[in-house]
Amino acid sequence: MADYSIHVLEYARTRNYPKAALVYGAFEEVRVTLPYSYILLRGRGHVALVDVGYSHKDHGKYLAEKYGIENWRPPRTVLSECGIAPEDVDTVFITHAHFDHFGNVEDFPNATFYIQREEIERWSWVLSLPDRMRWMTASLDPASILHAAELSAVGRLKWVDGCWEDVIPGVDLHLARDSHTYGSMWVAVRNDGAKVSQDVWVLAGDLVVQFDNIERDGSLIDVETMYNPGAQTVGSYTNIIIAMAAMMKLVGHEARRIIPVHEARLGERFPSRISREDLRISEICLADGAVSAVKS
Amino acid sequence: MPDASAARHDPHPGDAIARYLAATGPVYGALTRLVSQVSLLLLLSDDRRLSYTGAAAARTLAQETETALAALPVPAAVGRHHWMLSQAMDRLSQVLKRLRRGRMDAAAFARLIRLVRSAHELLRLAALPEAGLSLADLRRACCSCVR
Ligand SMILES: [Zn+2]
Repeated sequence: MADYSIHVLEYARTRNYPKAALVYGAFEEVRVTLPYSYILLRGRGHVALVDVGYSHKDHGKYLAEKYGIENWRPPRTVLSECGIAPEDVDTVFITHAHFDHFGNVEDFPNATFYIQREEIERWSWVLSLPDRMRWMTASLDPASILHAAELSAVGRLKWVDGCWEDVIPGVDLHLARDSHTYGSMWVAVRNDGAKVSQDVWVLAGDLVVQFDNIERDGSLIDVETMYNPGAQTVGSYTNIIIAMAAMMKLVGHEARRIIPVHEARLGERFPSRISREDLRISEICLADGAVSAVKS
Repeated sequence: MPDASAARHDPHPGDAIARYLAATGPVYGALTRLVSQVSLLLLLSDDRRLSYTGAAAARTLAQETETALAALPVPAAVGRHHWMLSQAMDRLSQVLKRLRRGRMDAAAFARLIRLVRSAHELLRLAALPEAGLSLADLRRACCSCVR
């Protein structure tokens, strides 16, 4: 039995992205396509999202022109491919406060947002440091904290302190402190509802950006695969690898159960289709009785 | 936001605007940081469990920014741009002042949130990313390797 349907929804992409930024040390490798996505989770009476993407209004034009990000589409368009409207979303898990994950807050008027307390507290500390230390604020949009204040004012912000089990039935939140960001969060779905689950999916945020981060060819050191974190972190690579090990333990070392949102090859591993807007929808799993969103 | 009619009075409007933009960069950056810090103070006043001791730092930054903003060389052509920054500054200062007076009801809190939101909106309108005036520093963002 499966409680939740899980879909990865691409909302924008950029081509020609250096692999070395996604897999630390891959300097010699080709450029790849980098999709921007969020994850839709439906079941047990909930419609939940993991992250909400960035707002075109705030950054879109600049990103499109400067960095060649194409095909940005608003949540209403992206979600409609699964028969969902933004108003239907009741729960949002923010994995971290980077602009491309915690932007479109206004689009979800009925959702309660969950974010690690440390993520916001530590960003704010960084923002109070002298300019010569500003490297640490990269990718942070000051509006993120404003979003948090607005949500708090209307009682729709829930702080997460470390781990939170069954935040909605069968869904657990985990903290990876000082990793990709100061308070990065990853989400585990126990899809059989069991305490010790045989059917876990991990939604990894940017702790795992591509398959290669957890399944890097290990032949150099005589192992089949090895962990290889991405290059972008304000924390430590060690903490990222420790988080990966925790994720892998939870999924019984079945790497395919760890879902990276910046992976262009999800379609090779999961049923998927390209929408009318030329964006990929990947069906990670289906709840009992649910209708596929990718097969007609 | 150069406006052509005003630029006619300046024999070298391009230079003056360039000087203005160069001097405005740090001020704009400080304003965006103030948005975050003031937002956090609002959050703090709403949620006592958050630990943050940045009120004094935010007030200092506000004072410094206000002074720097007033000292900017402002050619007529960019008067409107400078006005938007001043308006944003003014709203943020109002919020800081009100926060200092302590507890407030939900309506007052909502008003302060709206002030910060409109300050942010003004900064968004005044953003000139090609000149380094951008809300978020995306130069090292996960997309900035694409050239
Ligand atoms: Zn990120």
